[in-house]
Amino acid sequence: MKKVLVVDQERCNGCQLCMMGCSMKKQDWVDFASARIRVAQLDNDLSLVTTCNQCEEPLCLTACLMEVIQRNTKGYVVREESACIACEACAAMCSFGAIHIVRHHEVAVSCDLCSGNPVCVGFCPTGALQFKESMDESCDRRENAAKRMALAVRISGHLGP
Amino acid sequence: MFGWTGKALTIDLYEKTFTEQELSSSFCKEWLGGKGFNLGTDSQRMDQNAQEQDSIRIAVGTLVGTPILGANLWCVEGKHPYTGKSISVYGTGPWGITLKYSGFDQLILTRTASLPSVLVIGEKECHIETFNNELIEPYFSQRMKEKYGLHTEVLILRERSIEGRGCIGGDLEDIGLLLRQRNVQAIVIQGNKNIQFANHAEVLRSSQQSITKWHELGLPFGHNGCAVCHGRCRQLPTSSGEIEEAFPETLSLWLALGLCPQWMKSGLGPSLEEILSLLKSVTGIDYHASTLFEAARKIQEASSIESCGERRLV
Repeated sequence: MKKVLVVDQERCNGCQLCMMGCSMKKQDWVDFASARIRVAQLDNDLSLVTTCNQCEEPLCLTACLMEVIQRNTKGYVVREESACIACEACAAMCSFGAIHIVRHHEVAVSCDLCSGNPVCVGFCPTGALQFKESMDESCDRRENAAKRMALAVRISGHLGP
Repeated sequence: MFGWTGKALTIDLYEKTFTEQELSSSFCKEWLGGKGFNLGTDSQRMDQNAQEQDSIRIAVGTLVGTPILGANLWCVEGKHPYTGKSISVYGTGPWGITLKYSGFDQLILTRTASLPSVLVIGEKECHIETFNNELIEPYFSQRMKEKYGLHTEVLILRERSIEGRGCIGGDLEDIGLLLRQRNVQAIVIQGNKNIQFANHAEVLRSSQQSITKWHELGLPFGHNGCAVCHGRCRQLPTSSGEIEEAFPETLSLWLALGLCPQWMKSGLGPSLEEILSLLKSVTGIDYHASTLFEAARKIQEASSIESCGERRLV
């Protein structure tokens, strides 16, 4: 099954190491602007990670006039950046704000999961970024939800200690 | 030049003028960065007038800007507004990293702003915004980020503290005091530029290794947003004060390289061999341990002379 990049927003502390690692992997320098993953600091204790969700039916793919966005053999949405004209049609269509224009190079970029080995996951010290199968993630979420419900019931005293 | 941006920005707060200065590669090699740059710049200003000498200098370390855990330190040097003695303080968090990504290794603030001001180091231009009221409103930081974009970091200076993500240094009161005396209420930095390294692949590998080490130790994390140990550093057993007393040069070295002393004291930071290897891959300069400690000793000596009130370097 296809693996996906799972973001646990609650665990992210906004250190931005994933952005630095991503830009280093994709370019020959380090900066924030060319990172494919983005961390926005909403508050001192609240960060929001934005990255490509690898949609089943990607709108960016249909919006691209130059046909630079395609699915590769592994099923990931990838783009041929050298052919991009930065028309921003894909960025306008993306509901998650995961596509942005690198101004110095006038090219639209988004996460391509580093061809199945995303570097940002290795750079996340808190474990907020994980690369796993969507079924596993679904199971984990259901398990966590069940744990929370069990805890809530125990606290409210319905099941005793 | 690799690792450093090679630029310093001098800001005249009264005249609202900005002057860019090139930092030579020999200067960078000699003074390393951070505290070293602050003291090195000061030593070069000995012959200049008192107004220029009485500056506040903020500089980031050599390794700041790399994704290596713990490399995020920014140092501030200036004269205490009440006693006139030199003080040397530091802060952590992403503000220092953003300062380096703004294209400057060092900020030199001279004179005093006539009105309460906010200093903006922008991607295309720098300016000073003045306010007629003394207080910065709530959500100022968010408003600035909306105005200047995602990669903006804001440092808010209070009378007895500073506010900024991940700022955990014990000297926050002094930084706030130093800069508020110059009528600076906040420093907003847009970090949209990039830094190049001598050996890009090696820096990437070393950075990943430092985070893997963190994962292997299985240490929990906090939520203060500092790109070091995420608040955990304050709970780790450290030999607080002992290292500074026994080896003051070591502390100077960390402050010049931009490595968080809390992190280094915990024993989880890079070893000397790793630091030498990192410096080579970041700057391209093959430092020997003895030359590095010689530089650290020089910084320590300059610091001692500064704190004694003399303005003469050995």
